[in-house]
Amino acid sequence: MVMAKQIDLKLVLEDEDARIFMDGFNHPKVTQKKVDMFKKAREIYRNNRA
Amino acid sequence: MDKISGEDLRVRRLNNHSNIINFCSVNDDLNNFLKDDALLAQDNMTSITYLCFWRRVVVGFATLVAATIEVKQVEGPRIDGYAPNTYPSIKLARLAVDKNHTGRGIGPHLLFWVMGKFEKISKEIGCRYLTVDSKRESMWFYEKYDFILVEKTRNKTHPTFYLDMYLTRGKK
Repeated sequence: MVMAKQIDLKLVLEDEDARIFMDGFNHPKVTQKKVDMFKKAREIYRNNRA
Repeated sequence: MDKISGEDLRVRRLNNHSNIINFCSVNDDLNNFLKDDALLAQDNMTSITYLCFWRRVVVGFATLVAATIEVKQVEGPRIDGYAPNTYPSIKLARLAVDKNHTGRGIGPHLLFWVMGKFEKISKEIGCRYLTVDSKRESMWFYEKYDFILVEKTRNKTHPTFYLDMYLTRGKK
């Protein structure tokens, strides 16, 4: 039997990945796409609370 | 096949009575996880799996775990009283759709449901990022929903993405 991929619980970011992450953390971008996406997510979850 | 309306899909937590025996995605690892490991992991409180039903048949599933993001070698302000450079996240550890129902909107439905679940959790426990280790053939899917690719992992078997869920706070 093939085992499923192990779940790595820690993501380590370095160098440019770390810089991009910190820039996003300190200056999160509010886009209409994201607002709409999260609104849809809220609606779907509200209709399917598990 | 036609898209399935979101109104016809139901998401429920996996339990001892869930009939998962007929579920079959194109990925054997994911099938094996659901049938052999998911319930045990849930009993051990190491992951929780949610099933997506259409007409009482399991057509997809998603598995969530608590996770962290550690940031190395970056200068900048620290958050008082908080472990430096470690950020709380939730990991979408598994996401699969039955191979007989691919392309019918089940994957996006589950992903949006997970985002909604994230918002609920983040109101009670601090967490800001949704992370995922993607299959290579699914990278387009996460890019479509504005997940950020960790460049260092681009050429790995399972490239890693994260999504900043910051907007879920205060934006109703």
